[in-house]
Amino acid sequence: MMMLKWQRLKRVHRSIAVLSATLIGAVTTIMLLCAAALLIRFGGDDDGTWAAADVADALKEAVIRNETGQLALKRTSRLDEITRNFPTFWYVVSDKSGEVSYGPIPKWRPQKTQTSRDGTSFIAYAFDGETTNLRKMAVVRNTPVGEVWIETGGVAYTAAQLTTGMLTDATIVALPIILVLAATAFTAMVFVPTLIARPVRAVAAAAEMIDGVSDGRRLPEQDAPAELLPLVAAFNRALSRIDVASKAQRNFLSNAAHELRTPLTNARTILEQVEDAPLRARLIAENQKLSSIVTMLLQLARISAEPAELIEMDLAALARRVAAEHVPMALKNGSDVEFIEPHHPIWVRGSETAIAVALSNLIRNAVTHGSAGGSVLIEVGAPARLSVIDYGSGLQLGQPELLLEPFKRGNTRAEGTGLGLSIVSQVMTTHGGTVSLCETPGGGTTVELNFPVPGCRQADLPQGRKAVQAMTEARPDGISAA
Amino acid sequence: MRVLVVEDDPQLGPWLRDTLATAFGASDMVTTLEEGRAAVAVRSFELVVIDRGLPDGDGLALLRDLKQQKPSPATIVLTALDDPLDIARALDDGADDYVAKPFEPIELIARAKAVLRRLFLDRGAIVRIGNLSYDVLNREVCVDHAPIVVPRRELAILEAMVRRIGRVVLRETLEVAAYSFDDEIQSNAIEAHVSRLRRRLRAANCKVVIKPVRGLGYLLSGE
Repeated sequence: MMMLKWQRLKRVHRSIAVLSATLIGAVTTIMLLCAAALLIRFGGDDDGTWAAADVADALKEAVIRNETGQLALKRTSRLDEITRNFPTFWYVVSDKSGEVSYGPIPKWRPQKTQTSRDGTSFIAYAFDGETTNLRKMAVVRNTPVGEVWIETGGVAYTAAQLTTGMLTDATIVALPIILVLAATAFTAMVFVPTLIARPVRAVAAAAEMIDGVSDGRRLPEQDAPAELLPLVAAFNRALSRIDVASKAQRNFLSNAAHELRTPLTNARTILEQVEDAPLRARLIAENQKLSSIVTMLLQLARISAEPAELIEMDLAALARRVAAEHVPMALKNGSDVEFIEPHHPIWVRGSETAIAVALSNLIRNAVTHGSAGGSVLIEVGAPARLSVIDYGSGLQLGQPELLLEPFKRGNTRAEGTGLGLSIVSQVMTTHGGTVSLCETPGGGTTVELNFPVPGCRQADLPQGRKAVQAMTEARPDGISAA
Repeated sequence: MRVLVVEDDPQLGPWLRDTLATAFGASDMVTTLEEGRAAVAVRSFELVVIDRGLPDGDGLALLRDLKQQKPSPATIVLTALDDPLDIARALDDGADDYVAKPFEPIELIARAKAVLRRLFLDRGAIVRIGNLSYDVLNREVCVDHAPIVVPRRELAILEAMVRRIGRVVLRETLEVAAYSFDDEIQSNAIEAHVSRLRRRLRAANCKVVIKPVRGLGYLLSGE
């Protein structure tokens, strides 16, 4: 149980601001306590003043008049306690009518003067010669039975008694102050972290604006608080290094493209000179295959290396254009192309070039693997779906999602580069969408691309996840594709 | 027809020159931007094929010079770069088309023919497809040299398809070609016009085929 609670506590993110506020609160409390302890320590023992004042109040409460109208003292628990605690305790309470006394009364006693008044006007006198303890005290108190003259002595508080007494007195005064202090501390605990976190949140918001495109965008250093400045500066330096690396990668890809393609083009021209016609055809076919592998590898590398700039675009318009471009190729290979779209634009956030590359690959696959004389259906649908459907021999593979890995082919005929679907998969990953492969009802392959809809939170599709759904669709004959 | 090849590769250059000469007649080859500028200054070419990576600069520089010429030739840019941005830049600079290396000779020839056809259409020449000929300037259609009457909208549709022969012409392109902004277009108007145009051509024994592509548009082919 404890273990569970601790683990739950550990999962809560530690807040520097809350921690510092708590620490400041704790340090202040400890310092206040130390100050109080010091005051009490150096205040020393009671010289009798404190105790005598208390005793005078206790006596005042006990003063009554008996039935004959004479001054008397009733027994009170406070008086009893004093009598019990201090064996040397004595008192004389007097007024015009007479006096009541108790204990070892000293010989010399002060005279009541005309200036003696009610309240604090007590006269302390007669310090003991050996100790500094006050031995005697006289005070005037106004009671329900009239003004009385109280003389008392022989009491002195120990340090412990004094502290308890002082604290009890102090509590009554201090309680409202402590309540105000606690309320202030609590408010500070809530608001100070929020105030401290505000610039952190501002920096975080600026960081959120930075997307994958290396356009030299940086975090604003002028607005960052001093504590965050090293972090912001380090982050910006890291961004610069990423920009440089990304530029180097781009240059490398351009150079690799150029260096690989030029010799392939030259080889292709030399092949024209081969006399043996069947041999020439075979060599040209191999050359073409090599060329398309190079092209697609570079496409894959480029899509993986360079996060494309995503813009708001009409998926239907793009699909229409790409589909139209591929019609002559499909017709040459004996396939018809059919295009279905809704009567309204399908808005997605995407890179036109990347999606065009993905769709081209899917159409080429469908034309290659579709049935001869059959048709390839390209369909755009709501909310943001793009499907390419052929009616060929189908996937013939237990796990269709394996096809999304590079160099995996669906059929035993060694056609194609085995890279087309991994390019599609990579494009969909960069768009935060999904690819699903399934059997077309009645035979063939259906590839479905689903894009996140702009403005709609895709909580269940975190970006960057290799979003692969291998759908299994029951065929009319009851055999499942996967 | 004269073709200029600007290519510095000692293998590819001569091969391009010979291949294009076989397809289009006369063909010259130069290896630098400087020689290219000199060649177009003394002679007029109908087609210039330019490589991007030349010893003295980017082929796009020559492209901009060529677009200043009157009449300017059709241009095809050869590129070993496959960056979509590079291709877009080439087309922005006025290239009529681009061919990415490595390419099939047949593809280069096909693209060259397409850009030349557009060039001649723009220059007001008569374009021949099979036994059909289309006179852009006089907006006249002949089948086997016999003129046939084609109404205004059908003629606009035919011209749009002739411009993009061998490729799909989207229905929206045909709508723009045949109708002005103010016209009300019936949902099946284009289908109806194409259907009438097809019947008209068949009646005149024209061999040109207008193939419908479902959901997209039409494709005109010569056979």
